Amino acid sequence: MDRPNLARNGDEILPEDIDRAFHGSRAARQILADRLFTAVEGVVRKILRPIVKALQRDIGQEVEDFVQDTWLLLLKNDGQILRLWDPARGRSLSSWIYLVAHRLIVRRLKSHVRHPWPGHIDLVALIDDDLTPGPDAAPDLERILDLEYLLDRLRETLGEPRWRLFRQIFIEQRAPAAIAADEQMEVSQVYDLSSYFRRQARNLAANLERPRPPEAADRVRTTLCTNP
Amino acid sequence: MHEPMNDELMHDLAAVARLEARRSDSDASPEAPEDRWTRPARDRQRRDLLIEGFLAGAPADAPAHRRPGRIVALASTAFAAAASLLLAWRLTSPPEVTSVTTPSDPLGYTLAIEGGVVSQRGAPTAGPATFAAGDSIRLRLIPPTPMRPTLVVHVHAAQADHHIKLDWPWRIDPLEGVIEVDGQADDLRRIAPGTWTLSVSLRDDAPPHQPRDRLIALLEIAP
Repeated sequence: MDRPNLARNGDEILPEDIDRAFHGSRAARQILADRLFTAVEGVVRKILRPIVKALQRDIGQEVEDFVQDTWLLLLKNDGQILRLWDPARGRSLSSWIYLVAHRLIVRRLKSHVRHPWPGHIDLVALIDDDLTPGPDAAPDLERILDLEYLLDRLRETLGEPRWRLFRQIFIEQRAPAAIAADEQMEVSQVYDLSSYFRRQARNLAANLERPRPPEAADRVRTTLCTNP
Repeated sequence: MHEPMNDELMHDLAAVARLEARRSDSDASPEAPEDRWTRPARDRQRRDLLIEGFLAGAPADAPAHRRPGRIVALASTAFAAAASLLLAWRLTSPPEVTSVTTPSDPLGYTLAIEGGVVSQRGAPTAGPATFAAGDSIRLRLIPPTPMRPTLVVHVHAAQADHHIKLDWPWRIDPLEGVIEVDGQADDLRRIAPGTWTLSVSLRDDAPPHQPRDRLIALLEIAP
């Protein structure tokens, strides 16, 4: 009988543990299920915190609904979405679950058909990530992973002083005049930098190939070989 | 003439950066008074159902890639026929089986779903059977040994904010105790496609209608 070999908390679960849960014993699956459910519930509650603050009433039922939908999304098709998680990209499992749940909730709150609070269609603004949801979850999440990878490479390429300016211009969206004043620059220099940053991003995007995680089957094989 | 400060790529990059910052902030923020309003129900019934549904697709403890012996032992004519039907892509689904132990002394029924299409051919832990428009769904409840219980059957379905009672016709074999429930995928599809959790409860026919067993199954309803 194989050992579940799972780590002690949600963030310590490895992709190999997930593979074992799907292709190994019921015991491994039980351990994964318990930890995964706790993690899903935790992130859904966190994501909905701005909404419960706005509504000022109990939303336990809606939390359960979103937990159920996130759970089913992660595990359907033999755990396809769960297995997209790649710790080599720097994301913990809980942050991956957060991303999956957040996209699902935002998508639902932008829907007129399955909105849990139809009288409050503006609630989505409280948690909107400003990314247009794609029609399917897997490619939508892959696109975000690609953007994250590009962002990391861009930061490496720019170096910290320029990254600080990039952050102010594009992420914080500060007014060029305010940035120029703080950084003791001409406003035209801020515009020149923004053009430079855009070119850098486009060049990187054109030539970037994000490393893909190994196939689950290869991962299991490797693990079995290295841990006889 | 300066270029505009934003374009689609930069917009999306910035949005991803803000999303990650939001997650990081939420991790760091202390518990708020409103968090008490996001607590799920105390009975954890739905949690148990979802976890049991996930475990129902688990392979046996050993060896890997084999169906659980309990399920193999239950293989009826319908399941035996499924092996040959696999090649034809339509089959009796791998049984989504479990017995949720809400009743104090459950009868030990197991549940198999017939009809639909497997989502991944030959996968040892294939997901829920998929049903398309017009498909029939048959739920077959099999007792551990032949029995003659006097029961009534209730079927409920849940998906997100949908919780419905299904008035699907059912019959019970008076000699063996095998129960069959016949439904239509369209009953669920017209509400919403996607994954549905079915809950089949068995109660005594006589008052006070004590619960005797409850089983769950996951179904995928194609759009």
